[in-house]
Amino acid sequence: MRSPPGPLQDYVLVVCEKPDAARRIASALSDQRPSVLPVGSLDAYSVKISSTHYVIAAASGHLYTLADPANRRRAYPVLDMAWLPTHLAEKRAAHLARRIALFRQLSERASGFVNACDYDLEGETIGYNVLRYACGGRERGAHRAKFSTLTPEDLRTAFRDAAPGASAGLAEAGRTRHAVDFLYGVNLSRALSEAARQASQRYRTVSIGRVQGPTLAYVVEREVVIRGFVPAPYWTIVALAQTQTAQLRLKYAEAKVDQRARAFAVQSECEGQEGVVTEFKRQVSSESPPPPFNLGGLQHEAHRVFGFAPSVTAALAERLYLDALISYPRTDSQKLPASINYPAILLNLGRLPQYSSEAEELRRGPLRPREGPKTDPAHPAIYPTGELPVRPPERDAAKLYDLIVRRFFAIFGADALYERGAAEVSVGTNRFFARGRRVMRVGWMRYYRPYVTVDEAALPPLAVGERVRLLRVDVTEHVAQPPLRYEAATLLAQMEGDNIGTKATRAEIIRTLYTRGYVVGQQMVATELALAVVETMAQHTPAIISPSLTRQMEAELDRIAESGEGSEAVIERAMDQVMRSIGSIRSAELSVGGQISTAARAVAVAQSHLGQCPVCRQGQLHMIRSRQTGKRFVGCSRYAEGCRASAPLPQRGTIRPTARACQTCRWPVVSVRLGRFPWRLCINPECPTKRGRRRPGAQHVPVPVAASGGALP
Amino acid sequence: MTTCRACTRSSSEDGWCTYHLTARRNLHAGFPLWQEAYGGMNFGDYLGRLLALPETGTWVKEVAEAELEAWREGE
Repeated sequence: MRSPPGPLQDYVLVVCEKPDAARRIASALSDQRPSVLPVGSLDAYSVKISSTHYVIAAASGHLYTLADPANRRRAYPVLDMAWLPTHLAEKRAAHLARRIALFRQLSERASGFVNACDYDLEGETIGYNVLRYACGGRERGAHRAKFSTLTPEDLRTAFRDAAPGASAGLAEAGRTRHAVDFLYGVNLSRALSEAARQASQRYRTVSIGRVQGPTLAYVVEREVVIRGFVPAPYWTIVALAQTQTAQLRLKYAEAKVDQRARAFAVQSECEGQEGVVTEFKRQVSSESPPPPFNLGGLQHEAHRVFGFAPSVTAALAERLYLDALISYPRTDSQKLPASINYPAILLNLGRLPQYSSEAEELRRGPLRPREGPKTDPAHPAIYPTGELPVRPPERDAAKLYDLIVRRFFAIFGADALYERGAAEVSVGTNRFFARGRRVMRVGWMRYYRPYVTVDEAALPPLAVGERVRLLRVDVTEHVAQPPLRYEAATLLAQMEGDNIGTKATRAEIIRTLYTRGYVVGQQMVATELALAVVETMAQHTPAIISPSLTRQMEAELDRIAESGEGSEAVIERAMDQVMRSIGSIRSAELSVGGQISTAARAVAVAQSHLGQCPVCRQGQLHMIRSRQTGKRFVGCSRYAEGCRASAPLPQRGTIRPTARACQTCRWPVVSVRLGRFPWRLCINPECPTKRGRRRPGAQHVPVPVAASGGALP
Repeated sequence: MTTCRACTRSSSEDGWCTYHLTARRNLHAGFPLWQEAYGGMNFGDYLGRLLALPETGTWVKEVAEAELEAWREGE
């Protein structure tokens, strides 16, 4: 129902973080469908509850950002900063101007204000800034509605209990975090970029920041170990033994034998010989259900079972939250308060056929959730709200929802019980071991399938003193493995463990490492640029790559969130540190710049290389930007020799090589990212898979005969 | 200032940058372990084995190639 614009007055203006949240809140507060209120080119919602008239309007993330008020592009240091409308500081944010105008207009006649943004550091900052700058200094008297789900019940309770000044400390901490990150990020990034420009006469953004620094250092430290790794040989010994009833696989007591001669001596001493069981034990052990998900746990698990990058999981979880299907996902908590109505949630979930039997079974038993140790003062662990989807979530969101629901079921399950067996077999002076386990009770695992598998390898019946014959003894040569490279999920876990960044920012920081050309590949390989930046930081401002600086900052921000005080001292310390770092970089500007620009050039060449030309099969395909038109396209390095292979490219978004060839035409496949989710694209406009989709007038490119698919040559 | 024998970084000692120098130290520290593991092995065989292994770090391989060349010349 759309209401004609009219002279509204005496209403409470509700500030929401996103349009979807505003729509949800309006629907939840209204008994009927909320009235849509056109304001300029945007909509707000009008809802009346008894004597209170709410007008609900949405921001779209941060409408204000910290920026240099003098708007100098490359100059540094920048110690003066001001909260400015985001659309004035960032070209791509022009659309946000309308949102500020919306709040300006609606605040003029409002008699009260409610901040209903997400209840965390970022949400608080968004709401605070809108109330302060767009609504004319209404941040102090505004009420705070706190909720962890967008279900009607929770939202009504949150608005009933909304109180003024309920989160002033959180807003102060949020604004301080932005200020500190601005000081480190803008100044040190400009110092590095400018040093590189001085050395090479070409500009390239080289970024570093308070959280990005230690995160990048983790990857680089691992890279240095891997590239300097010398494997050492060792041997393993495994025997196959015949007992009275079955065959048994035994491992030599020394897991890694470091001398070849000794390993083969064991083989010759034991093969074909009789051994005796010198020890045999069986014991029952239990495995508790895993804790409910916090964001880090969910990101880790979604990466393990679906291969989702943490940033993708965060975006999908946000979507599920905005659809009121799950509770607020940006939480550290592994606790679920008793106030959550579990029977009602299970009853509702049981209406979905895929969950009906498990939900019904759980509802009949006691509902005591298993919890983990981590807490979050603002939100509980992630749980399904029990709201049924109005439309089915899209494929990946549906997968994540299923994972969350099944984990929720699992936390109410009984411990799984195993019978574990351990045996020791002696052959002369050589000792071998065997271990096995058998599931006695599946417990919570029944509810968490298919995301958990039950491994069983039971030992046959054995008795101490029993004689067994070693039918075969195998010696296998190995070399030690270098440490595993980080993947997004393991890097995220490392950041969590060291308290680097926040649940809201970690995934984004990891994504930035890719977009800046610091890392490549799913198993992160640090580029030369990453090595050069970390090396420079280690020489000139080691604090920025040390976890201790950012850990200390997080502790200080927590204190500010609790007390609402102390932000000036934190910002002053950051300014001090930044000025010292800048001084050091400037004193060696040319050598720092030379090192970084050389590495940056190498990365740029690697990022533009798409593989062997499928037409001439001699040249290499590269992404090139036309000097005349500024447009990017793909061309062959043997253009001068007559190869005319070329292909157009999308002109917007980030394009990265994938090292894969199209299964159909063998041209390279690239990854294109425009917005949150990347997609893969065969660059050949004449690829048979695109027939019927070709735009008229597109450039003709000769297509080579299809060969077998797979990795590029 | 001279550059490293294997990369574009500036060299600090014996013509190697700090990364390749560390790799070289690791390479030499590993030799006695391999000798003991196989009950004897010459330096050339050791380097050849390392160069063939995918687990060996790229900086180590770059140093090993140079060392192998020098070892062959000394033979």
